Amino acid sequence: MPLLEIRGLTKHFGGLAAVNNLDMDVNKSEILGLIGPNGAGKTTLFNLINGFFPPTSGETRFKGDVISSLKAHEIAKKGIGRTFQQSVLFMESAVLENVFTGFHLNYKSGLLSQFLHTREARKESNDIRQKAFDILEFLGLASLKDELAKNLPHGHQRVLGVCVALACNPELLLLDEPVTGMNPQETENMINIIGQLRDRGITIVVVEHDMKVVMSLCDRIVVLNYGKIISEGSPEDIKGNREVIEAYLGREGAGANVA
Amino acid sequence: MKAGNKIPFMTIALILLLLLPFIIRSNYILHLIIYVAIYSILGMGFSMMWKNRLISCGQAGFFAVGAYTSTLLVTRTDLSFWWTLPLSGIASAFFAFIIFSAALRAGPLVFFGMSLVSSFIIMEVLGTVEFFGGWEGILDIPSASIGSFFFYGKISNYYFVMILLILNIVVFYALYKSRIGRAWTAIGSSVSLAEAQGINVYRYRLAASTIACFFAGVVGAFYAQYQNLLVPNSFSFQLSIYVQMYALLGGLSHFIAGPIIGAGIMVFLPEYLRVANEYQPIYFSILIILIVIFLPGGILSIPQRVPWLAGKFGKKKEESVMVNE
Amino acid sequence: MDVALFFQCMINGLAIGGIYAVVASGFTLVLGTMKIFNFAQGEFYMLGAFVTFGVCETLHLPYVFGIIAALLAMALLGVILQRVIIRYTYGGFFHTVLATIAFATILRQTAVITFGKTDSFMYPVVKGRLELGEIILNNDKLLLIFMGIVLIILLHYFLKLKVGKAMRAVTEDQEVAGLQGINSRRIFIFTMALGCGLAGIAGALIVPVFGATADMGHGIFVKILLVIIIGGMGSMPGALLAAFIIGLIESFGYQLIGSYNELALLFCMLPILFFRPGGLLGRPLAIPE
Repeated sequence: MPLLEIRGLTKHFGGLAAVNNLDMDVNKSEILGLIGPNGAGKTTLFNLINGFFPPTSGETRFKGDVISSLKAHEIAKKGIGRTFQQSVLFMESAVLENVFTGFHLNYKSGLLSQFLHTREARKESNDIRQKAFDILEFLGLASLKDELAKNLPHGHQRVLGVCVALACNPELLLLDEPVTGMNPQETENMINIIGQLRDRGITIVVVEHDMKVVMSLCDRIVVLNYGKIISEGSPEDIKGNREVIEAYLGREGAGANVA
Repeated sequence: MKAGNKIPFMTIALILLLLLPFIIRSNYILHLIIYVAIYSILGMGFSMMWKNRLISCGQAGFFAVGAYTSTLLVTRTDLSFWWTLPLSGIASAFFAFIIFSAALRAGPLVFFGMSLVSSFIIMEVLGTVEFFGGWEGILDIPSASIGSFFFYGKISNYYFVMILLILNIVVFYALYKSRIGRAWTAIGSSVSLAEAQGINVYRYRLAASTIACFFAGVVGAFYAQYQNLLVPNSFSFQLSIYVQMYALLGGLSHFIAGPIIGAGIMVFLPEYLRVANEYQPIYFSILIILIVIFLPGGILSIPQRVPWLAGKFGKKKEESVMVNE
Repeated sequence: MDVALFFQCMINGLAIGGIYAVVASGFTLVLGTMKIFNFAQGEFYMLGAFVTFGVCETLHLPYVFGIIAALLAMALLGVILQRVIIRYTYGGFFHTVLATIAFATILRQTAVITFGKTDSFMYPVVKGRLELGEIILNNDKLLLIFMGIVLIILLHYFLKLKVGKAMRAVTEDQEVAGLQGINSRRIFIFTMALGCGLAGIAGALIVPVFGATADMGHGIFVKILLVIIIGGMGSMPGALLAAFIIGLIESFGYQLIGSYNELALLFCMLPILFFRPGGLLGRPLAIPE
C-alpha cells in the first residue's frame, strides 16, 4: 500500500482549476520529485495535502486513512510535515527556540502540569530541548543555536525550515523548493541532508525548479502542468520525454532547463 | 539572565510595593496607583490576545460584565463578595467564550470586529435594560469586607489590587513560559507554520481570549466594590481604546511590562498636565497618532533604537532568549 | 402586531437598512481595495449630517447643495486622513487601525465640544404621508429608502466603469495592476474619497429625518461592523443584504422586545458566524501581516 494516495483531487479558485482531477501515489521511503512550469499547481497540491485548503472534490489518504477532510494541525499530527516556498520561520525567536516550538506535538505531560512547571514537566521540556538540539546538530546548525532566525543567511534559514518540520516527527515530508536561491555549496549540503533523511526512513516529496538537483536526488518524478499530471517516471524517462520538454519550452521559452 | 538573578530584584520590588502606601502618604496618588493596577490588568489581557495577533477592541465590555456580575450578586442575593470575585471572572470568561468561539471561526479580522460590537452591545444593554440599573447606574455598592474589616480606604484597596495584579503577572508569566505560551508565540509569528507544526490555532486563540477576559472580569469585581457605584458609560469604547493605547505605548512586544509601563505613564501624565476633561480624548488621540508614526515599538523599544543604549540593554535581550528552564 | 404597525416597522427597517447599506458599501470599498479598517467612517457620517445641517439651516441653501457639500467635504477629509496619517503608519495593520481610531476620536470629541450633546434638527425636506387604508407610510422615510436604493444602483454601475475596474484590479493584486499601467496611488486616493464621501451622503440623507447628534457616529459604526461581518468582509452584495437584514431585525426587535433588542441582535448574529464563518456572501479575510 502506498504511504499517500491521492484520488481525483480537484481544487478550484474562482473558475480556475489549480489542481484538476489528480491521481497520484507516494510510496514509502522514496524521494518523489514534483516538477512543472510556474503555476502548474505544485504548491497548491502541497497546500491541499497538508490541509491548508479543503479540496473542491476528491480525497487524499495517508496510511489508509482519509485525511482530506482534516484541518492542517490534525494532518500534522498524523505525521505529515512541510516546509514553505518562502522562508517561513518564527523570525523573532532564536534558532533553537524555533525547533523547540516546532515540537509542540511531542508533549506527554498535561497542560496543567506544564502550567505549574512541575518537575516532570520541566524534565520533559529539557528532554525536548535536547531533542531539538539533536536535530540542529544533525543538520549542522548547532553552532548557530542562539542566533535569531531573522538574522540567519538565506541558506541557513532554509535548513532551519527543514529542522522545524522535522520536529513534528513526520513520516512524510513535503519540501517546497528547498534549494531555491542557494549557492552551489549550500545546495550540495541540502541534497546531502535530504538523502540522510530518507536513510532515516522519512518519505519525501520535493517541489523544485533546479533540474540538476531533481534529477540527481529523486527516485521518481511527476510532472504537472495546468493542475494535471502530464508525465511520470524515473529521471531517465523524464529526460527523454517530449511532452515535458514542450511544457517547459512552451511556458518558459528555454529548453535548457531540462538537462 | 538566569532566573536566579531575578530573585533579588523581585524581592526589592515586592518590598517597595509593600511599603509604598507608607512612603507616599497621599490618598490621591494611591488612588491613581490603584487605577494603574486596574488598567495594567486589562492591558495585559489585551497583550495576551495580541500575542496571538488578535486585536481586542472590547476589554471594557468584559470588564463591565465582571463588575456587574459581582455587584448584582452582592446586592440582589446575600452571596459574599469573595464568592463573587471568581464568579465574575467566570461570567466574563463564559461570555467571551461564547462570542469568540463563533467569531474566531471566521478569523482575526472578525474577532476584532466582534470584540467591539459585543462590548458596545454590553454597554447598551446595561444602560437600557431596567434590571441592570439603567444609564444612571447602580449606587451604594457595599465594599468588600473580612469579618468587620471593610475595604474602604485607599490603603486596604491598594493591597487588594496589588494582590490581584501580582497574581495576574504570575499566572501570565507561567503561561508564557509554558508550552501554551510557546504555541501563542508561534501563532503570533506565523499562523501557517504554527498550523503545519500541529498547533490548533483556533483553540489556542480561544484559550487566550477566554483567559484574558477572565482576569478582566475579576478586576471588574474589584473595581465595583472600590468605586461603590457603577455607571454604564464608564465602560465605553473609549476605555477599550485606552487599554490598547497603554499596551502600545509601553511596547507591544513586551506582554507584561508593556501595559504596566504604558498605564503608569498615561494615568499620571494627564494629572500633571492638568488637561480639561473635555479635551483629554483629543490630546490622547494626537498622542496615539504620534506614537503610531514615530514610535511603533513603544517606549520599551527605545533602548534598541538608540545605539549607545543598545550596547547596554540590547545584549541583555539576546541573553534572555537562552533562558534554560 | 397589526398590519399597520407591521408596515411601519418594515418601512423603518428598510430606511435604516438603506442608510447602513450606503455607509457600509463605502467602508467595504476602502477595506477591500486598501485593506484599511477605517474607524472614522461613522464620524464621517456624523460630520456629513452636520455639514448638511449647516448648509441648509445656517446658509439657507437648498437641500441638494447640502448633500453635495457633505459629499465633497467628507471626501476631502478622507483623503486628508489617508495622505497625512495612514500613509505614515508602518507598524502594520494594528497601528493603522489605531491611527484611524484616534482620528475618529478627534473628530467626535471636536463635534461634541462644538455642537454639544443635544440633537440638531433641521426642517423636513418632504412632508406628508402616504395613507393606504390603515397603513400609514411617512414620505420622508420612503424618500430615504428610495435614495438608498438609487445610490446603491449608481454605485453598482459606477464600479463597472473603467475606474471601477481599475479599483478591482488593485484589490486583486496591486503588483499586477501596476504592470497593467494602473496608478495604484491615484486609485487609493480616489477610493478613499469615494468611500468617505458615501458616508457623508448618508449623513446628509439622515439629517432631515432623524436629526444630527455629535455621538451618532460611533453607534452607526458598530452597526456597520456587524453588517460587514455578517455580510462577509469585503463582499459588496453581502454588505447590502446584511444591511437590510440588520435594519429589519432592529426595527422589529425594538417593537417586539424593547430594550433587549440589541442583545437579541448579537445572539442572532452568533449562529450565522458559527455556521458561516465567512459571512452570508463572502469568505474569511485574513489580516494583512
